[in-house]
Amino acid sequence: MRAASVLGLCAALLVTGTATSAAAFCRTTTCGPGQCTPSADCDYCLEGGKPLFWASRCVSFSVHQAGSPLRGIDFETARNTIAGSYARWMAVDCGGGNGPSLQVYDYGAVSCNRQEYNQRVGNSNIWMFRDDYWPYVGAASTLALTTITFNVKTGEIFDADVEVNSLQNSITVGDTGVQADLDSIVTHEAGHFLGLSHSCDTDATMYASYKVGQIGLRTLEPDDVAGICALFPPGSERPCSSEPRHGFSSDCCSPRSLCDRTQKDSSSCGAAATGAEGQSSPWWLLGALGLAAASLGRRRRR
Amino acid sequence: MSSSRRAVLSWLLCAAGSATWAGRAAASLARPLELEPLCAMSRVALVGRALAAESRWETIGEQRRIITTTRVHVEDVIAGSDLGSEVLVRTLGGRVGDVGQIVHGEAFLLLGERAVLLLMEASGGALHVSAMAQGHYPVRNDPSRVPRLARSPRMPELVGRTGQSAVERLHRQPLDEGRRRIAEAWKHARR
Repeated sequence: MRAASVLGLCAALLVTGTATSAAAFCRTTTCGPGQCTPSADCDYCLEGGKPLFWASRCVSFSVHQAGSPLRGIDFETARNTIAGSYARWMAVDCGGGNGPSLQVYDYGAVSCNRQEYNQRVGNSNIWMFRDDYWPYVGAASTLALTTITFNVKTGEIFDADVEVNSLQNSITVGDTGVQADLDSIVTHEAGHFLGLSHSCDTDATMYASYKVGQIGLRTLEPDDVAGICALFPPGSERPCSSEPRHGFSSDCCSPRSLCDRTQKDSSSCGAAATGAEGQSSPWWLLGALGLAAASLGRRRRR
Repeated sequence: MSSSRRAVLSWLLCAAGSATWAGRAAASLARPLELEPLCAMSRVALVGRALAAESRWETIGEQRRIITTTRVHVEDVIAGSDLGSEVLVRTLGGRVGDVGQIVHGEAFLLLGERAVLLLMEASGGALHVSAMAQGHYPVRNDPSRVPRLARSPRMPELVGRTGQSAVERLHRQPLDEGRRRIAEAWKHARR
């Protein structure tokens, strides 16, 4: 069973800064390809969309049960590293000794190793290693890929998954023999998971680039602190439900026909169309078809 | 802050004041590719403008994802195959109905924006941006109205910078110089 633990409880040991300085951070927004303009302060921070946010003050993450055998990273090591990165984010001082109004729960191991968001059944926010294949064309150089699924009308985050390309990159843990440092990678990706984009502050972890072999992204800088505190200001009263949207599921959804609200897939960009959250479920359609078939059967028997 | 970083930021701030589109550099982590390998993996390098986009749910490697197909008008082919006046480019992420997906690190083509694109062909003939955002360079005018190459809005953090990566060699270059560098690298990549 999942081992839920509030990371913030132990995170006090990891405080790395306060929210008193620079504010060059950038929130991820709903921007579509034809909707946004650059910020006056930072040309790669878009304005015009709605900021993405976690509606609950409690969120959860899971880690695929295999870890990365190829890189010698077992599940517990992966889990502890990822949990530690969230703890780092949650341990910052937003002023007066108060931390961000978010609690991150560790839901432990899951068997699902797919990036997926199910519109009708349970989900999990999964960190997974790709030891066997990397399915993205021309993307062998990518170390990790974070996918955020959200409501385009409100900006509410539905799901967040992180894939680590351990097949094509030498991912390492620890302080010796460092190559692509897992702790640095997950700290940066956790910032995206929580709703931050790149900062324009060159000192920020959410800006910084680092050389292979270094561990520079493990720590948070003042601008990162300002960003997370702006996303989750202390004292914010929101309901607490760490369950992923539509409930928690350790397993991938299968078959796909049971997972989503509709079987029709395409839509024009930005236009209301199929696959929308809140649209009527195909169960209605299936039910109606079932009733129609039963009715037809009765008529034939008469 | 180093003087070179100050210079970069200064230019970025100036560029932000222009009327051109720009994006947000939300990113995942990636190794930087040098220009020659980037050209070597590509079928075409072109200057184009995104005209329209359409998104849909698709299955990739057993994963259900939103994929966006963008129709790009080809203004000029810098190197590689001439694929006609328009090409269709597939990228991860997009929006279908009320559900949106952002894939940090993927190229993000803004409608109406001119860009240099290095494109590769996947099995089945679909065109993708080579190395995700590393193959996408929006063209934006600087304060002197000189068109220059910018970084892709969702450029990944580039781990292990060498000074010779494609992004470092192309970012902020005038369009003409960027074209020259790509054409030269293209030739070297195919020797």
